[in-house]
Amino acid sequence: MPRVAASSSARTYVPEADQGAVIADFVRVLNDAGMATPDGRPALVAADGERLELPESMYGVLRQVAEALSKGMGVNVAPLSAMLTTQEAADYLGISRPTLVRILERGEIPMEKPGRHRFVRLKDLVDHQEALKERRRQALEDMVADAEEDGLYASTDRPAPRTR
Amino acid sequence: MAFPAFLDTCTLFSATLTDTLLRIAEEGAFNPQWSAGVLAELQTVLEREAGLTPERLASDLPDAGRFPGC
Repeated sequence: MPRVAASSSARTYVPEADQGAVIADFVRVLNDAGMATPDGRPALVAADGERLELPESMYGVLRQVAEALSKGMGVNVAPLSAMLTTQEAADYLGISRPTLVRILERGEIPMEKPGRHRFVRLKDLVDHQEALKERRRQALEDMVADAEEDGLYASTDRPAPRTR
Repeated sequence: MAFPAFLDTCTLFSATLTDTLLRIAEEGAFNPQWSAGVLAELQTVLEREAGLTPERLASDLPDAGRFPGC
């Protein structure tokens, strides 16, 4: 499978100091007008004057990117099919590369190893993160229900006893 | 990016505190860590202090298998 290099298919946009006011206006106008008014829908005007109506997805992208940039945050735009290096994948999950590699070796996230190096699909990272979140949420819910049933909230409502 | 924080036995002792900390962690504010040693000690202390059987306790404790990635 051809690797769609994250470096070429993904781009990072960082806010530029002199464009803060323009971007803030952009956010305000996009938010105030919304996706549709009686007079029309949001549109882009190309350099040659051609007017193109924005589909909802493009409107969403512009609004989200502009909002982040206006808060001084950088934005990375990458297709879900992008194949990331292990370092890029670790950065995405906010963990170290060795920790990511251990997760890959346990088979918890699919990877491809066409040669010497491993690659991870961005979509698989997003899926993994969502599954993890759901398992944690469920575990916390179960734990709370069981602890309530056992009266643990009341019986441990004091400083921990000294054990040594 | 979420920083790791180690929660030891005296932190995890209070169910209210554990509940609160894990909810904050669930929102991505930090990455909670604990060890098998901490869990074993917590189990011993709770058996004694809350008068629960090990079987009952097992489902009340935050263990690594149930908080994957922690």
